[in-house]
Amino acid sequence: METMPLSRLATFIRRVFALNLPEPVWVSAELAQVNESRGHTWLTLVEKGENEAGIIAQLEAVIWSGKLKRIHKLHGLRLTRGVLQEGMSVRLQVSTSFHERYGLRLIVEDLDPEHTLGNLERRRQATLEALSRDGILDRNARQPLPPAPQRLAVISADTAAGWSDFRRQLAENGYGYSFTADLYSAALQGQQTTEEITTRLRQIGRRKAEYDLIVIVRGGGGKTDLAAFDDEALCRAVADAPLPVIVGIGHEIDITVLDRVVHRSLKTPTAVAAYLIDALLQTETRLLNLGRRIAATATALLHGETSSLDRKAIAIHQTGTAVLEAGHLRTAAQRKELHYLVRHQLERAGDRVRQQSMLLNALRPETTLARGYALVSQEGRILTSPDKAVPGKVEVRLRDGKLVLRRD
Amino acid sequence: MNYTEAQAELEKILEQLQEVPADIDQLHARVARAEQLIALCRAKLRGAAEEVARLRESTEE
Repeated sequence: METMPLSRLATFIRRVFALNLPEPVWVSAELAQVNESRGHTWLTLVEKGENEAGIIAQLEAVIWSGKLKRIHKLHGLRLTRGVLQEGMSVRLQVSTSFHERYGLRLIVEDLDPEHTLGNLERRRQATLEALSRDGILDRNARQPLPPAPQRLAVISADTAAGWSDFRRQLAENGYGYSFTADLYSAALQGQQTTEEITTRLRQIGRRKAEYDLIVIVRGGGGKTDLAAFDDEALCRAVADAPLPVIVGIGHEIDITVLDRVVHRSLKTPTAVAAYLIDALLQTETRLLNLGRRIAATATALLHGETSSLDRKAIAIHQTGTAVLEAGHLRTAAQRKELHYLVRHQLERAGDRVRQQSMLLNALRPETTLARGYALVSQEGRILTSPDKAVPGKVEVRLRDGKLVLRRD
Repeated sequence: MNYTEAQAELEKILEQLQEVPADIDQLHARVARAEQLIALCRAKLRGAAEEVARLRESTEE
Protein backbone atom coordinates (compact mmCIF):
# COMPACT_ATOMS: atom_id res chain seq x y z
CA MET A 1 0.00 0.00 0.00
CA GLU A 2 1.26 3.46 -0.86
CA THR A 3 2.41 5.73 1.91
CA MET A 4 2.03 9.45 1.25
CA PRO A 5 3.37 12.45 3.17
CA LEU A 6 0.92 14.46 5.25
CA SER A 7 1.12 17.45 2.94
CA ARG A 8 -0.10 15.39 0.02
CA LEU A 9 -3.11 14.20 2.01
CA ALA A 10 -3.79 17.76 3.12
CA THR A 11 -3.58 19.02 -0.45
CA PHE A 12 -5.89 16.20 -1.49
CA ILE A 13 -8.48 17.16 1.18
CA ARG A 14 -8.24 20.79 0.14
CA ARG A 15 -9.00 19.79 -3.44
CA VAL A 16 -11.96 17.71 -2.29
CA PHE A 17 -13.42 20.75 -0.53
CA ALA A 18 -12.64 23.09 -3.41
CA LEU A 19 -14.15 20.74 -5.99
CA ASN A 20 -17.25 19.83 -3.99
CA LEU A 21 -18.02 23.20 -2.45
CA PRO A 22 -16.85 25.70 -5.08
CA GLU A 23 -19.62 28.22 -4.29
CA PRO A 24 -20.56 29.80 -0.93
CA VAL A 25 -23.60 28.19 0.80
CA TRP A 26 -26.10 29.47 3.39
CA VAL A 27 -26.04 27.70 6.76
CA SER A 28 -28.09 28.20 9.87
CA ALA A 29 -26.41 27.79 13.25
CA GLU A 30 -26.14 29.16 16.73
CA LEU A 31 -23.22 31.31 17.82
CA ALA A 32 -21.59 29.47 20.70
CA GLN A 33 -18.61 31.84 20.93
CA VAL A 34 -17.78 35.21 19.41
CA ASN A 35 -14.30 36.71 19.70
CA GLU A 36 -12.71 39.69 18.04
CA SER A 37 -9.02 39.83 17.33
CA ARG A 38 -7.16 42.40 15.22
CA GLY A 39 -10.36 43.39 13.41
CA HIS A 40 -11.31 39.84 12.51
CA THR A 41 -14.27 38.14 14.15
CA TRP A 42 -13.86 34.49 15.13
CA LEU A 43 -17.01 32.46 15.55
CA THR A 44 -17.80 29.02 16.93
CA LEU A 45 -20.91 27.72 15.16
CA VAL A 46 -22.95 24.95 16.71
CA GLU A 47 -26.17 23.13 16.04
CA LYS A 48 -28.00 21.68 19.00
CA GLY A 49 -30.29 18.67 19.05
CA GLU A 50 -34.02 18.81 19.55
CA ASN A 51 -33.93 18.88 23.35
CA GLU A 52 -31.13 21.52 23.27
CA ALA A 53 -29.00 19.21 25.34
CA GLY A 54 -26.34 17.94 23.00
CA ILE A 55 -24.39 19.64 20.27
CA ILE A 56 -24.73 17.64 17.09
CA ALA A 57 -22.42 19.77 14.92
CA GLN A 58 -19.69 22.34 15.59
CA LEU A 59 -17.46 24.28 13.18
CA GLU A 60 -15.17 27.29 13.44
CA ALA A 61 -15.77 30.33 11.25
CA VAL A 62 -14.19 33.72 10.67
CA ILE A 63 -15.31 37.07 9.32
CA TRP A 64 -12.24 38.81 7.92
CA SER A 65 -12.07 42.46 8.81
CA GLY A 66 -12.53 43.64 5.21
CA LYS A 67 -15.63 41.51 4.81
CA LEU A 68 -16.98 42.70 8.16
CA LYS A 69 -16.77 46.33 6.99
CA ARG A 70 -18.75 45.42 3.85
CA ILE A 71 -21.36 43.58 5.93
CA HIS A 72 -21.64 46.59 8.27
CA LYS A 73 -22.17 48.85 5.31
CA LEU A 74 -24.74 46.54 3.79
CA HIS A 75 -26.92 45.82 6.89
CA GLY A 76 -26.02 48.58 9.28
CA LEU A 77 -23.46 48.57 12.06
CA ARG A 78 -25.83 48.32 14.92
CA LEU A 79 -27.94 45.49 13.55
CA THR A 80 -24.88 43.46 12.58
CA ARG A 81 -23.35 43.84 16.01
CA GLY A 82 -26.65 42.78 17.53
CA VAL A 83 -26.72 39.63 15.47
CA LEU A 84 -23.11 38.70 16.25
CA GLN A 85 -23.78 37.95 19.91
CA GLU A 86 -23.21 34.70 21.70
CA GLY A 87 -26.41 32.69 21.86
CA MET A 88 -27.87 34.22 18.71
CA SER A 89 -29.36 32.07 16.05
CA VAL A 90 -27.81 33.12 12.72
CA ARG A 91 -27.99 32.43 9.01
CA LEU A 92 -24.59 32.90 7.38
CA GLN A 93 -23.32 32.66 3.84
CA VAL A 94 -20.06 30.76 4.10
CA SER A 95 -17.44 29.33 1.87
CA THR A 96 -15.35 26.43 3.07
CA SER A 97 -11.67 26.79 3.35
CA PHE A 98 -9.28 24.04 4.19
CA HIS A 99 -5.77 25.07 4.97
CA GLU A 100 -2.99 22.51 4.99
CA ARG A 101 -1.74 23.72 8.29
CA TYR A 102 -4.78 25.36 10.03
CA GLY A 103 -7.41 22.87 8.93
CA LEU A 104 -11.04 23.48 8.15
CA ARG A 105 -12.53 26.92 8.62
CA LEU A 106 -15.69 28.53 7.27
CA ILE A 107 -15.20 31.97 5.75
CA VAL A 108 -18.24 34.18 6.29
CA GLU A 109 -19.24 36.09 3.18
CA ASP A 110 -22.53 37.55 4.30
CA LEU A 111 -25.20 37.21 6.98
CA ASP A 112 -28.99 37.39 7.09
CA PRO A 113 -30.21 39.65 9.96
CA GLU A 114 -33.86 38.85 9.17
CA HIS A 115 -33.31 35.23 10.11
CA THR A 116 -32.00 36.25 13.53
CA LEU A 117 -34.81 38.74 14.07
CA GLY A 118 -37.42 36.18 13.03
CA ASN A 119 -35.94 33.67 15.36
CA LEU A 120 -35.96 36.16 18.21
CA GLU A 121 -39.60 36.91 17.44
CA ARG A 122 -40.54 33.22 17.55
CA ARG A 123 -38.71 32.81 20.84
CA ARG A 124 -40.49 35.88 22.14
CA GLN A 125 -43.88 34.52 21.15
CA ALA A 126 -43.10 31.18 22.77
CA THR A 127 -42.09 32.90 26.00
CA LEU A 128 -45.23 35.04 25.95
CA GLU A 129 -47.40 31.98 25.48
CA ALA A 130 -45.70 30.13 28.32
CA LEU A 131 -46.14 33.07 30.68
CA SER A 132 -49.71 33.61 29.60
CA ARG A 133 -50.46 29.90 30.15
CA ASP A 134 -49.15 30.21 33.71
CA GLY A 135 -51.22 33.34 34.23
CA ILE A 136 -48.35 35.56 35.34
CA LEU A 137 -48.47 38.22 32.63
CA ASP A 138 -50.42 40.62 34.87
CA ARG A 139 -49.10 39.38 38.22
CA ASN A 140 -46.90 42.43 38.77
CA ALA A 141 -49.52 44.81 37.41
CA ARG A 142 -51.95 43.58 40.08
CA GLN A 143 -49.73 44.98 42.82
CA PRO A 144 -51.11 48.39 43.78
CA LEU A 145 -48.91 51.34 42.94
CA PRO A 146 -48.27 53.43 46.07
CA PRO A 147 -49.85 56.90 45.87
CA ALA A 148 -46.52 58.69 46.34
CA PRO A 149 -43.73 56.54 44.83
CA GLN A 150 -40.60 58.34 46.04
CA ARG A 151 -38.26 55.59 47.25
CA LEU A 152 -36.94 53.82 44.21
CA ALA A 153 -34.77 50.77 43.73
CA VAL A 154 -33.24 51.31 40.31
CA ILE A 155 -31.78 48.49 38.28
CA SER A 156 -29.52 49.94 35.61
CA ALA A 157 -25.98 49.87 34.37
CA ASP A 158 -24.10 52.51 36.38
CA THR A 159 -22.30 53.73 33.29
CA ALA A 160 -25.39 53.88 31.12
CA ALA A 161 -26.71 57.21 29.90
CA GLY A 162 -30.21 56.04 30.87
CA TRP A 163 -29.38 56.02 34.59
CA SER A 164 -27.94 59.53 34.63
CA ASP A 165 -30.80 60.85 32.43
CA PHE A 166 -33.26 59.30 34.84
CA ARG A 167 -31.55 60.68 37.93
CA ARG A 168 -31.23 64.17 36.46
CA GLN A 169 -34.83 64.23 35.33
CA LEU A 170 -36.03 63.28 38.82
CA ALA A 171 -33.76 65.79 40.55
CA GLU A 172 -34.77 68.64 38.27
CA ASN A 173 -38.53 68.23 38.60
CA GLY A 174 -40.24 71.61 38.76
CA TYR A 175 -42.40 70.82 41.79
CA GLY A 176 -39.61 70.23 44.29
CA TYR A 177 -40.55 66.59 44.92
CA SER A 178 -37.70 64.63 46.43
CA PHE A 179 -36.89 61.11 45.34
CA THR A 180 -34.38 58.65 46.66
CA ALA A 181 -33.01 56.33 44.01
CA ASP A 182 -30.68 53.51 45.01
CA LEU A 183 -28.79 52.03 42.09
CA TYR A 184 -28.60 48.25 41.79
CA SER A 185 -26.09 47.93 39.01
CA ALA A 186 -26.65 45.13 36.50
CA ALA A 187 -25.91 44.27 32.90
CA LEU A 188 -28.89 45.17 30.79
CA GLN A 189 -27.86 43.40 27.62
CA GLY A 190 -26.12 40.20 26.70
CA GLN A 191 -26.24 36.82 28.31
CA GLN A 192 -25.51 38.03 31.87
CA THR A 193 -28.72 40.06 31.96
CA THR A 194 -31.04 37.42 33.41
CA GLU A 195 -28.68 36.30 36.12
CA GLU A 196 -27.68 39.80 37.21
CA ILE A 197 -31.18 41.24 37.24
CA THR A 198 -32.51 38.20 39.09
CA THR A 199 -29.79 38.59 41.73
CA ARG A 200 -30.58 42.30 42.09
CA LEU A 201 -34.31 41.57 42.45
CA ARG A 202 -33.54 39.15 45.28
CA GLN A 203 -31.38 41.81 47.03
CA ILE A 204 -34.14 44.40 46.65
CA GLY A 205 -36.66 41.87 47.97
CA ARG A 206 -34.72 41.61 51.21
CA ARG A 207 -35.01 45.41 51.68
CA LYS A 208 -38.55 45.57 50.35
CA ALA A 209 -39.80 47.83 53.15
CA GLU A 210 -37.34 50.56 52.15
CA TYR A 211 -38.77 51.01 48.66
CA ASP A 212 -42.01 51.96 46.95
CA LEU A 213 -41.21 50.42 43.61
CA ILE A 214 -38.55 49.00 41.32
CA VAL A 215 -37.41 50.82 38.21
CA ILE A 216 -35.45 49.21 35.38
CA VAL A 217 -33.95 51.79 33.02
CA ARG A 218 -31.53 51.69 30.14
CA GLY A 219 -30.61 53.99 27.30
CA GLY A 220 -31.44 53.14 23.71
CA GLY A 221 -30.44 49.89 22.08
CA GLY A 222 -30.94 47.98 18.86
CA LYS A 223 -33.56 45.41 18.22
CA THR A 224 -31.24 42.52 18.99
CA ASP A 225 -30.01 44.21 22.17
CA LEU A 226 -33.49 43.76 23.55
CA ALA A 227 -33.34 40.01 23.13
CA ALA A 228 -32.26 39.65 26.74
CA PHE A 229 -35.60 41.08 27.86
CA ASP A 230 -37.48 38.28 26.14
CA ASP A 231 -35.82 35.68 28.33
CA GLU A 232 -38.41 33.56 30.08
CA ALA A 233 -36.51 33.16 33.37
CA LEU A 234 -35.93 36.91 33.57
CA CYS A 235 -39.57 37.69 32.86
CA ARG A 236 -40.75 35.20 35.50
CA ALA A 237 -38.40 36.75 38.06
CA VAL A 238 -39.66 40.25 37.27
CA ALA A 239 -43.31 39.15 37.34
CA ASP A 240 -42.68 37.77 40.83
CA ALA A 241 -40.84 40.91 41.99
CA PRO A 242 -41.82 41.97 45.52
CA LEU A 243 -42.77 45.49 44.40
CA PRO A 244 -44.36 47.03 41.31
CA VAL A 245 -41.82 47.28 38.48
CA ILE A 246 -41.68 50.14 35.99
CA VAL A 247 -39.38 49.87 32.99
CA GLY A 248 -37.95 52.32 30.51
CA ILE A 249 -35.51 50.35 28.41
CA GLY A 250 -35.08 52.78 25.59
CA HIS A 251 -36.95 51.48 22.59
CA GLU A 252 -39.46 53.27 20.48
CA ILE A 253 -41.49 50.64 18.68
CA ASP A 254 -40.68 47.11 19.76
CA ILE A 255 -42.31 45.45 22.70
CA THR A 256 -40.32 42.89 24.66
CA VAL A 257 -41.85 40.23 26.86
CA LEU A 258 -40.49 42.16 29.84
CA ASP A 259 -42.71 45.10 28.84
CA ARG A 260 -45.68 42.79 29.10
CA VAL A 261 -45.00 41.43 32.58
CA VAL A 262 -44.14 44.67 34.39
CA HIS A 263 -46.50 47.02 36.15
CA ARG A 264 -45.94 49.71 33.58
CA SER A 265 -43.71 50.02 30.54
CA LEU A 266 -42.54 53.36 29.21
CA LYS A 267 -40.33 54.18 26.27
CA THR A 268 -37.36 55.84 27.93
CA PRO A 269 -35.82 56.48 31.34
CA THR A 270 -36.88 60.10 30.94
CA ALA A 271 -40.47 58.99 30.39
CA VAL A 272 -40.32 56.89 33.59
CA ALA A 273 -39.10 59.91 35.55
CA ALA A 274 -41.86 62.07 34.03
CA TYR A 275 -44.41 59.39 34.91
CA LEU A 276 -43.28 59.30 38.57
CA ILE A 277 -43.29 63.08 38.84
CA ASP A 278 -46.78 63.12 37.36
CA ALA A 279 -47.93 60.46 39.83
CA LEU A 280 -46.74 62.66 42.71
CA LEU A 281 -48.38 65.71 41.13
CA GLN A 282 -51.68 63.84 40.91
CA THR A 283 -51.38 62.69 44.51
CA GLU A 284 -50.58 66.20 45.65
CA THR A 285 -53.53 67.60 43.69
CA ARG A 286 -55.80 64.96 45.22
CA LEU A 287 -54.50 65.81 48.70
CA LEU A 288 -54.98 69.53 48.11
CA ASN A 289 -58.54 68.89 46.97
CA LEU A 290 -59.18 66.73 50.01
CA GLY A 291 -57.70 69.45 52.19
CA ARG A 292 -59.98 72.05 50.63
CA ARG A 293 -63.00 69.81 51.12
CA ILE A 294 -62.06 69.14 54.74
CA ALA A 295 -61.67 72.88 55.32
CA ALA A 296 -65.01 73.64 53.64
CA THR A 297 -66.79 70.91 55.60
CA ALA A 298 -65.21 72.03 58.85
CA THR A 299 -66.16 75.65 58.18
CA ALA A 300 -69.74 74.65 57.39
CA LEU A 301 -69.93 72.52 60.54
CA LEU A 302 -68.46 75.32 62.62
CA HIS A 303 -70.85 77.79 61.10
CA GLY A 304 -73.80 75.51 61.80
CA GLU A 305 -72.69 74.88 65.35
CA THR A 306 -72.08 78.57 65.94
CA SER A 307 -75.59 79.57 64.87
CA SER A 308 -77.04 76.70 66.87
CA LEU A 309 -75.09 77.91 69.90
CA ASP A 310 -76.25 81.47 69.28
CA ARG A 311 -79.86 80.29 69.17
CA LYS A 312 -79.37 78.33 72.38
CA ALA A 313 -77.72 81.32 74.06
CA ILE A 314 -80.66 83.54 73.09
CA ALA A 315 -83.14 80.93 74.32
CA ILE A 316 -81.26 80.56 77.62
CA HIS A 317 -81.18 84.32 78.03
CA GLN A 318 -84.91 84.63 77.32
CA THR A 319 -85.84 81.80 79.65
CA GLY A 320 -83.58 83.19 82.36
CA THR A 321 -85.05 86.65 82.02
CA ALA A 322 -88.60 85.29 82.18
CA VAL A 323 -87.83 83.19 85.28
CA LEU A 324 -86.12 86.15 86.92
CA GLU A 325 -89.03 88.47 86.14
CA ALA A 326 -91.52 85.99 87.52
CA GLY A 327 -89.33 85.68 90.62
CA HIS A 328 -89.18 89.46 91.01
CA LEU A 329 -92.95 89.77 90.69
CA ARG A 330 -93.54 86.98 93.18
CA THR A 331 -91.03 88.46 95.63
CA ALA A 332 -92.58 91.91 95.33
CA ALA A 333 -96.04 90.43 96.01
CA GLN A 334 -94.74 88.48 98.97
CA ARG A 335 -93.00 91.57 100.30
CA LYS A 336 -96.20 93.56 100.01
CA GLU A 337 -98.16 90.85 101.78
CA LEU A 338 -95.50 90.53 104.45
CA HIS A 339 -95.63 94.28 105.21
CA TYR A 340 -99.39 94.21 105.23
CA LEU A 341 -99.48 91.27 107.64
CA VAL A 342 -96.85 92.78 109.93
CA ARG A 343 -98.61 96.15 109.99
CA HIS A 344 -101.91 94.42 110.64
CA GLN A 345 -100.48 92.39 113.54
CA LEU A 346 -98.77 95.43 115.00
CA GLU A 347 -101.98 97.44 114.71
CA ARG A 348 -103.98 94.69 116.39
CA ALA A 349 -101.43 94.45 119.19
CA GLY A 350 -101.46 98.28 119.54
CA ASP A 351 -105.26 98.30 119.69
CA ARG A 352 -105.22 95.71 122.39
CA VAL A 353 -102.66 97.61 124.48
CA ARG A 354 -104.81 100.77 124.06
CA GLN A 355 -107.88 98.90 125.28
CA GLN A 356 -105.88 97.47 128.19
CA SER A 357 -104.67 100.96 129.00
CA MET A 358 -108.25 102.29 128.89
CA LEU A 359 -109.41 99.40 131.04
CA LEU A 360 -106.64 100.12 133.53
CA ASN A 361 -107.66 103.81 133.66
CA ALA A 362 -111.23 102.77 134.28
CA LEU A 363 -110.19 100.34 136.98
CA ARG A 364 -107.69 102.53 138.76
CA PRO A 365 -109.17 103.82 142.16
CA GLU A 366 -108.56 107.49 141.32
CA THR A 367 -111.09 107.26 138.44
CA THR A 368 -113.79 105.86 140.64
CA LEU A 369 -112.98 108.40 143.42
CA ALA A 370 -113.21 111.19 140.82
CA ARG A 371 -116.81 110.29 140.17
CA GLY A 372 -117.61 110.89 143.90
CA TYR A 373 -117.15 107.42 145.27
CA ALA A 374 -115.14 106.85 148.43
CA LEU A 375 -112.69 104.14 149.33
CA VAL A 376 -113.08 103.15 152.93
CA SER A 377 -110.36 101.26 154.77
CA GLN A 378 -109.45 100.40 158.32
CA GLU A 379 -105.73 99.85 158.95
CA GLY A 380 -105.10 99.23 155.29
CA ARG A 381 -107.94 96.69 154.92
CA ILE A 382 -110.65 97.79 152.53
CA LEU A 383 -114.16 97.84 153.99
CA THR A 384 -116.91 96.69 151.71
CA SER A 385 -119.46 95.86 154.44
CA PRO A 386 -120.47 97.96 157.56
CA ASP A 387 -120.44 94.76 159.67
CA LYS A 388 -116.75 94.38 159.09
CA ALA A 389 -115.99 97.77 160.67
CA VAL A 390 -114.45 97.62 164.15
CA PRO A 391 -114.34 100.56 166.62
CA GLY A 392 -111.41 102.83 165.94
CA LYS A 393 -110.03 104.93 163.05
CA VAL A 394 -111.66 104.63 159.66
CA GLU A 395 -109.86 106.09 156.62
CA VAL A 396 -112.01 107.50 153.85
CA ARG A 397 -110.31 108.34 150.53
CA LEU A 398 -112.05 110.92 148.41
CA ARG A 399 -111.10 112.51 145.04
CA ASP A 400 -109.22 115.39 146.53
CA GLY A 401 -107.86 113.93 149.74
CA LYS A 402 -108.12 111.68 152.78
CA LEU A 403 -110.67 111.90 155.63
CA VAL A 404 -110.16 110.08 158.95
CA LEU A 405 -113.28 109.18 160.90
CA ARG A 406 -113.74 107.35 164.17
CA ARG A 407 -116.22 104.54 164.82
CA ASP A 408 -117.63 104.19 168.23
CA MET B 1 -89.56 89.51 129.75
CA ASN B 2 -90.99 89.11 126.28
CA TYR B 3 -94.17 90.60 124.87
CA THR B 4 -96.28 87.47 125.34
CA GLU B 5 -95.29 87.11 129.03
CA ALA B 6 -95.95 90.80 129.60
CA GLN B 7 -99.39 90.51 127.96
CA ALA B 8 -100.28 87.41 130.03
CA GLU B 9 -99.34 89.12 133.28
CA LEU B 10 -101.14 92.35 132.26
CA GLU B 11 -104.36 90.45 131.45
CA LYS B 12 -104.14 88.64 134.77
CA ILE B 13 -103.70 91.95 136.69
CA LEU B 14 -106.59 93.61 134.77
CA GLU B 15 -108.81 90.68 135.82
CA GLN B 16 -107.63 90.92 139.42
CA LEU B 17 -108.33 94.67 139.40
CA GLN B 18 -112.00 93.91 138.72
CA GLU B 19 -112.21 92.07 142.09
CA VAL B 20 -112.01 93.48 145.53
CA PRO B 21 -108.38 93.77 146.53
CA ALA B 22 -107.12 92.48 149.88
CA ASP B 23 -105.82 95.86 150.92
CA ILE B 24 -104.84 99.28 149.67
CA ASP B 25 -101.16 98.46 149.17
CA GLN B 26 -101.99 95.48 147.03
CA LEU B 27 -104.33 97.66 144.96
CA HIS B 28 -101.64 100.27 144.42
CA ALA B 29 -99.05 97.63 143.65
CA ARG B 30 -101.31 96.07 141.03
CA VAL B 31 -102.06 99.39 139.34
CA ALA B 32 -98.38 100.33 139.32
CA ARG B 33 -97.39 96.95 137.85
CA ALA B 34 -100.12 97.22 135.20
CA GLU B 35 -98.86 100.69 134.18
CA GLN B 36 -95.33 99.33 134.02
CA LEU B 37 -96.48 96.41 131.81
CA ILE B 38 -98.44 98.69 129.48
CA ALA B 39 -95.38 100.92 129.07
CA LEU B 40 -93.28 97.84 128.34
CA CYS B 41 -95.73 96.55 125.71
CA ARG B 42 -95.93 99.97 124.06
CA ALA B 43 -92.15 100.22 123.95
CA LYS B 44 -91.92 96.76 122.42
CA LEU B 45 -94.54 97.58 119.78
CA ARG B 46 -92.81 100.84 118.93
CA GLY B 47 -89.50 99.02 118.64
CA ALA B 48 -91.07 96.38 116.37
CA ALA B 49 -92.66 99.08 114.18
CA GLU B 50 -89.33 100.87 113.84
CA GLU B 51 -87.56 97.62 113.00
CA VAL B 52 -90.14 96.83 110.33
CA ALA B 53 -89.79 100.33 108.88
CA ARG B 54 -86.03 99.94 108.74
CA LEU B 55 -86.30 96.51 107.06
CA ARG B 56 -88.75 97.95 104.58
CA GLU B 57 -86.36 100.70 103.70
CA SER B 58 -83.45 98.25 103.25
CA THR B 59 -85.45 95.99 100.91
CA GLU B 60 -86.75 98.96 98.91
CA GLU B 61 -85.34 98.82 95.39
